[in-house]
Amino acid sequence: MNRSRGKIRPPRRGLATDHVDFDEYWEVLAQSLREIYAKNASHLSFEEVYRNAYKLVLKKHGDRLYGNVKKLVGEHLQTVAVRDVKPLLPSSIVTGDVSFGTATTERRTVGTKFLERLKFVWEDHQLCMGMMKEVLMYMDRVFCADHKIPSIYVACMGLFRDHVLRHPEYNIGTALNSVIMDQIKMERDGDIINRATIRACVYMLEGLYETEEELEDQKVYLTSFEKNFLLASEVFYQKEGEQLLRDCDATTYLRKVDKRLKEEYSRCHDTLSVLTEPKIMEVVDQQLIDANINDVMEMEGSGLQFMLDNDRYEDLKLVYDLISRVDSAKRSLKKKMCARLVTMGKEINRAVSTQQISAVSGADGAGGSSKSSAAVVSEEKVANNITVVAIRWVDEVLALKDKYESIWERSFDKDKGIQAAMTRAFTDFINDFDRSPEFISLFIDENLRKGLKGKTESEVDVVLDKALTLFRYISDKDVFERYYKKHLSRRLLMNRSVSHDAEKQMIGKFKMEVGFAFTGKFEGMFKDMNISEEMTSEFKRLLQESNSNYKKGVELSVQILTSTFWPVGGSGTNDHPCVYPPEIRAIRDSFTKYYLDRHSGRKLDWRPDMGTADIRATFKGKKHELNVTTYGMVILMAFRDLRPEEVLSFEEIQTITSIPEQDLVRNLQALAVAPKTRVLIKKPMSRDVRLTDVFAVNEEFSSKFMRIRIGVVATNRAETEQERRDTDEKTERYRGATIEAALVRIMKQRKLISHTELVNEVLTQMGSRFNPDLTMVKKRIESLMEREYMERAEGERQVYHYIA
Amino acid sequence: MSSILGTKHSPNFLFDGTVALYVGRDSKRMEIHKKLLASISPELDKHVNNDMKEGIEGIILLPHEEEVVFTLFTKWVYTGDYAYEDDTPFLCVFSDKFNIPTLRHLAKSKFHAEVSPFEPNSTEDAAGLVLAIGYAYDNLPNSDPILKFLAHYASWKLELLRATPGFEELILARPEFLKALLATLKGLSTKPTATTSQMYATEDDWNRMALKALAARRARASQPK
Repeated sequence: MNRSRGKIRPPRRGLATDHVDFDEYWEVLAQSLREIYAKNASHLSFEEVYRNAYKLVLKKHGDRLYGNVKKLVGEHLQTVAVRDVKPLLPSSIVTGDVSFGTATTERRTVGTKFLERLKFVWEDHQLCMGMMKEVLMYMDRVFCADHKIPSIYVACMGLFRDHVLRHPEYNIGTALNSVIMDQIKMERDGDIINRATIRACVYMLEGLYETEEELEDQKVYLTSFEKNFLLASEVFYQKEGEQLLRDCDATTYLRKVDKRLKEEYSRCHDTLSVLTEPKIMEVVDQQLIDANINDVMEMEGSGLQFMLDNDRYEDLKLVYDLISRVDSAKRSLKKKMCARLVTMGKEINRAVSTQQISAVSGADGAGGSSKSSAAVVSEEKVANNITVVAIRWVDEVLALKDKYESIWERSFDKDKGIQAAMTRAFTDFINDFDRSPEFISLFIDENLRKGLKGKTESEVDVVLDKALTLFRYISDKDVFERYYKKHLSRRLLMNRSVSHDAEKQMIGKFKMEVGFAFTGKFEGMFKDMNISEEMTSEFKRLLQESNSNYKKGVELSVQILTSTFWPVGGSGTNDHPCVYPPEIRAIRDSFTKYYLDRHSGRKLDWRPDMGTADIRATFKGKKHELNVTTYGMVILMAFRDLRPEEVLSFEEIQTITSIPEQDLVRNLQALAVAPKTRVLIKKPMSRDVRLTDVFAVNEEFSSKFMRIRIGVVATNRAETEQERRDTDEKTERYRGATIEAALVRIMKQRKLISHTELVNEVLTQMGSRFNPDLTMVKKRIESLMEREYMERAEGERQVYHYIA
Repeated sequence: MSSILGTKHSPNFLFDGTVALYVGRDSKRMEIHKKLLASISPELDKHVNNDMKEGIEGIILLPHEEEVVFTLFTKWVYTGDYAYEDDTPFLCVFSDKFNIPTLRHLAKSKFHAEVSPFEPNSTEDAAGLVLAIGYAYDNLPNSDPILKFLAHYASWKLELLRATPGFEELILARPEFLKALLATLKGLSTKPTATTSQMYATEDDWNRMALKALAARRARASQPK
């Protein structure tokens, strides 16, 4: 190292000898390139060719070298176009005269030969250019890069485009497009074509660009082929769509479309370019799906309705999949499906309504004024029938729901939008039917009363959940609450509930769904039941301890109902007159004193129309225990002191007991007419109790049972017309009050509020319970203004002012 | 210093055979591992692996490469380094021809480390510098940054070089160098007067130079092609 340190040595070789003559070098180089074209490269020395090109570029002849190479390649390609490609141009296709009569097979052969030649020419060009590119590497790296011009390879690809595909005389490119499209049409028509050859030609088009910048969106494939292909496909599929619509049923149509989609997909992957996939799919989507799917769904006997009605899961899935391609919201499917669903639902409603009407008209046929006992009884029979109808209605609605739910799961991919639409449809037809709250409550009653016997806990849960889904659909939640309260109270008071756990479970579900405000009263009812039990036993204990006169024989069991929790009617006034036998009256008074001593200020209202009594009686020497209503007990006690042959007329019984006429009729019907429980006999014998009848103890009564239940109405049932009218009226009254309360609450808080705002506020507050009627809201506002709770603000028409 | 061996290869190339090279005017035969040579640059790869003579016969003739330069190259290929031998311009040209940026970089840093601290002052040094500059400008593409560096270097030693035979020829035959050199010159700091201009050159000197340049250009233009 040291010997050379600090010295700059002259280069060992002379400098002046390096003169490079362009033409001399180029001639050698051009000859080499021609050898490459002639497939004679094996005897060339790479080093020599590379070095020659290197020297030319180094000596600043890059420009001329680049130009000369291009010229050489261009001339070669011109020869190729004329000598190799032109003879195989399929004339019939180029002239566009495809229908000229050329047979498909011939067209295919001619086309394929042409494609194969182009493929060969292209592949040869690529191969030769690959080698040339390598020997010219120095030019690309130094000259092209420094001058920012395209590499020689890129430039020569452009030459292929211009000299071969776009040959000014022979429309080779156009012919290529036509042949490919012609062959694809053959394949679409079911022929077999040579996919690989087409693929090779498409590779060519994909490898060529409009400009030397080689922009991705400027591939010749895109600029010259694809557009034409898509246009032709559009025409093809438009025709096919029309034809399929004419000839096929819905299923066949859908399958065909599905098949076409798969074909086009694989065509893009095997034959054409993946670039085209989304575009051709869109063409199929537009022409075969978007344009016709509504007509397909409407097809009589095979369309959407048929599929829904017959649970064609696979076909429905296809409908869903295809529609999803053109409309992510699947609007038309949702609309049509929901329309069918609502129709089915209304069908169920209508069937129930017809049964109701026929039942009612049957009752009318039984004749008589509404006050006659026959009418009372037959009205109840009708109500019982309707109860059966109600259960069936719920069952059918649930079956419909199950059906559509399973379609939704199996065919519609659990689509959220469709689910919402289905919910709307159910809400629609369920609320379209004015008895749905009552019926749903009856359904729950049926299940909680006896239907749940023998069911496992999870089965119970399933039933209750089903009931809950229906409950969700109801918009008049307040009406439902009214019925549920009524039915629950019966179950509790008559001890007909199969399990308190199940009851509480159900209430828990309601609570989760709509909150405590809704279930508070239900829970209050349970509390009352517990307190009553405690009080009954305490009262009994106190009685035994303190009263030496305590007579065994009458045992009191009380149920103390908080009047706001229970559907027991007006509180305070005695709506239920009844003259009790003295021993009963005594214990009643005793309990009243006991209760009021503990809870001063409260009021006890005894309800003989609701309780039951167990009475011991002896018929023909056999002891029986009769379980009767409180009224029944009072009636039977009237016969206690009579001699065997003595009778009491209807009027006399009424005088003795003060029981209201309708209740009396109903109870006497059970005691004196119903077979098996006829402990009284009446004269004249007939099926109905009349006000003129007379009654006596039936000394001949016998029964194999020790305990006999003589019920009037044992179970919950649908309401009679009269009861419904009452309920409706109550609902209206209750709603009016609720709206008024809300109005006052809002006014108190806001002081000054516009009409629209006020109404909207009320609507939101009421929304979870019922949908208030607008005129009702307006009326309530008027009424509140009359009563000077609020007034119109001065100078402003639509604004209210709160009056403290 | 990065070694080709260390970074790019598993030593697999050792078992994959060699290629015979015949280097220089005397066609000195040597062998080098085929895979190793091919891995250095796409250009060298194509010299080894092609469908032409070299690829088929497994022999590469390199008659235009200097034995010494190729030896340095081979040393670098196997060891990642070479001993500095004043051969920087040759290695630069070599690595430009065969596209070996790492070697180029190494050559350049050696050049800076060895040459920069030294200040040429003898006429021998100056003659060497002129020749080196001429060689670089003849054998490297214009875009090569070392050319600019050399122009700057020359500008720094302009006093010395001006007196050197061959400098004039260097300037006249290589306009790129002249251009780069001029770009570094500051020119006079004051307005010249007749007397001050004589401090640098007489008018006659300039005229002589201009005539010479003209004659040289004519001579080149009339050379047979």
